[in-house]
Amino acid sequence: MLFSLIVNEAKKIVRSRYSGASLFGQIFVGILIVYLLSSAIVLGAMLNSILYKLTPGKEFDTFCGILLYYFLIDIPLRYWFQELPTLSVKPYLIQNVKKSQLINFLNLRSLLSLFNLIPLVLFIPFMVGNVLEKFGANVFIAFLVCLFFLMLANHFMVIYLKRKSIINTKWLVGFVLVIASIFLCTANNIFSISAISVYFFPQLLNNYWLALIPVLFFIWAFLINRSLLRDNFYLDIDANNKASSNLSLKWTDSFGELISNELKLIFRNKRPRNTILMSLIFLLYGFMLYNKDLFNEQSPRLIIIVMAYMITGLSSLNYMQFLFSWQTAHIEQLMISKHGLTNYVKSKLSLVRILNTVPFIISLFYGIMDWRIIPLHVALFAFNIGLILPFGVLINVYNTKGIDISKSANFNYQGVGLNSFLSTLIPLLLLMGIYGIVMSFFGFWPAVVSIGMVGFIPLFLQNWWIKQIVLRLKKQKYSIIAGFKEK
Amino acid sequence: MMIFIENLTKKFGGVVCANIPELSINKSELIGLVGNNGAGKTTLFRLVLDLLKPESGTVSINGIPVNGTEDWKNYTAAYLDDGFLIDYLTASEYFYFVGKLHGLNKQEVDDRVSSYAYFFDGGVDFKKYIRDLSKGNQFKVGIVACLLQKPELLILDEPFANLDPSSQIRLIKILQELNINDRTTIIVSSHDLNHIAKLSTRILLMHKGEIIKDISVSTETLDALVEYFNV
Repeated sequence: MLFSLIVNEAKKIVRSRYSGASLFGQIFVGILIVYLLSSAIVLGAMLNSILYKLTPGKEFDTFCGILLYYFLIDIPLRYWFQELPTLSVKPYLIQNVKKSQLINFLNLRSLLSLFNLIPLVLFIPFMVGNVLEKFGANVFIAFLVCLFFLMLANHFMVIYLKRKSIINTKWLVGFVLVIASIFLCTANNIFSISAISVYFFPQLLNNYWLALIPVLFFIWAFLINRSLLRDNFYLDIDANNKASSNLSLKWTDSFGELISNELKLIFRNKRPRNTILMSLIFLLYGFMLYNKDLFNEQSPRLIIIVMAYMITGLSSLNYMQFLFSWQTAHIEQLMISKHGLTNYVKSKLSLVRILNTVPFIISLFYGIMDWRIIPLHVALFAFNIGLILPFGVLINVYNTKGIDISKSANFNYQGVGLNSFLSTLIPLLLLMGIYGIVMSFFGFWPAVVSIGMVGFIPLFLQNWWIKQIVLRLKKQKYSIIAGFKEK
Repeated sequence: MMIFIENLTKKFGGVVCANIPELSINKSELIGLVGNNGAGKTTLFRLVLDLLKPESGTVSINGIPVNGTEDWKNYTAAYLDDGFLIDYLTASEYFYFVGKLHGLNKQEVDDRVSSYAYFFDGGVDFKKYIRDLSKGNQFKVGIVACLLQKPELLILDEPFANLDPSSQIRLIKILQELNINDRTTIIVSSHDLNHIAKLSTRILLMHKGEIIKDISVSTETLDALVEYFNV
């Protein structure tokens, strides 16, 4: 029985509708996985010499020190990226399949994750080279058991936490607080994970049975996960039935109503919410990028401009990738509604501008570090809202790929096509082009000013833009409707 | 004349899904559209609503081609499937949204919706997201959202398919009253011949994209229909 479940799941992956349609996205994910995995393999093969360079002669101690550290960092990463394999169970609920088999299947299915491969390729080569050869097979096996079961324990613990936080958001808050305080304590040397790690692992040399501790940890995580699943078996069916949150904005005309509806779309659906949140996290990049020498001759100013552009504009750019696709489900409703296409286009343009304005205003606080950041951000903001966003809306009229907004945005390339890449790539190339040309003739600040002007002037062409977009949308709408239906 | 169709054709991958040389629908007619699966009923609706681009021909509403202006959106309401709902809104938010587009304030929307309370039969929680409602209740929300616009032209695709028997009978009554009192032009497609014969003033029978019978309803209508489908 378990076997036929696995076979069905494999068929689902191979035959999934959008895998064929969005070949581009699939290839991209494939390349990403190969890249990550091969990086881990190379890093694993070189671990010995890296550790030797860092602490010559004490590679084994350092290795013991980083092991627990790795698994600590592993937890938040998994929490953010690892998917819960829940939905695929629905069709089996009414079939003659035992609940426990389904639970086992769910747990087994969840193991298919890059997170469960990376630690193995990363650490086993070193363990073969150092532990096996120096301390013998018994110690090696003890280490292997530790590694393997720590990984599995993390895996099931994170899945447990994720499921818990779906049921109750307090778990999410608690999780973030606990992880943040552990990292803060480690950073401020209140206690040291690596000290625990350095103490624990060498004990294995004499007491193999200590390897049972991670095993027990794993069993505990596995069992709580199983009982949670058993108690909340109908979890993902009911998870959406939360009462609606209230988010009403008062607008005077239909154009405003459309914006307020789309803001609701962002807050109430998984994929757009994820996309916006991830872009907002990018705002924090300023802390890494900006420092006192920011505007010196020696600093890599082209990179700074590109990054500053991302900091102020990424959420609007990311949202724009699927500008019309977000409404895949009810595109027909929009096309026959009384508001008409002009109001619709106006609302789209205003929405991406709002999504740009909010992070822009927040980013002005970086001016405290150096006031010259403010004119830089203003110029990039003008460039984006004046030129790039209207242009992006125009390009997006030709994007006919639909998406399902209830899925997570992480590693989700449904609907990604040439169009969405172009609408991120073109602005960057344009930005670098203007900067490069003006910079080489007149210098840095004139370049910034011209970037600002290039955006500022089209702001007066607002109506022309909207007319052009509506004109094209009128011709394109049949293809958009047909494309979104295929999804 | 409410709707006028001329030389309309539409193909999907070589298969003709609509081929209508000429069809006119007058104001305040109540049309029942019948035909087996794949006869082209929904395609016809989509062409009328300018959601599909025809290979040739035009559809005009009130004398203006639908792909020419957007004026018809002011007085046309349609519900074909749940793609016509905004599923992340609650039912009441959706009503207010549609009402606002038609210049209604919240009070007016509430009044109009509550006048259809017997259609909902107390079974719909307006505070729930539409995506969490059952198919039948989604249909009721979609239909009432159309009704509260007080449209001049109302298009419903298979409205009876997802409704319970009581709601089906209530809907027939609602549509007939709307047709008589407000002179609303209504087009309804259905597989339920009894309902269609009882409801409509004129029945169009579609087969492979063509309208092969155009019947004014009389007492013999149902027999004629049953005879056609009884192959």
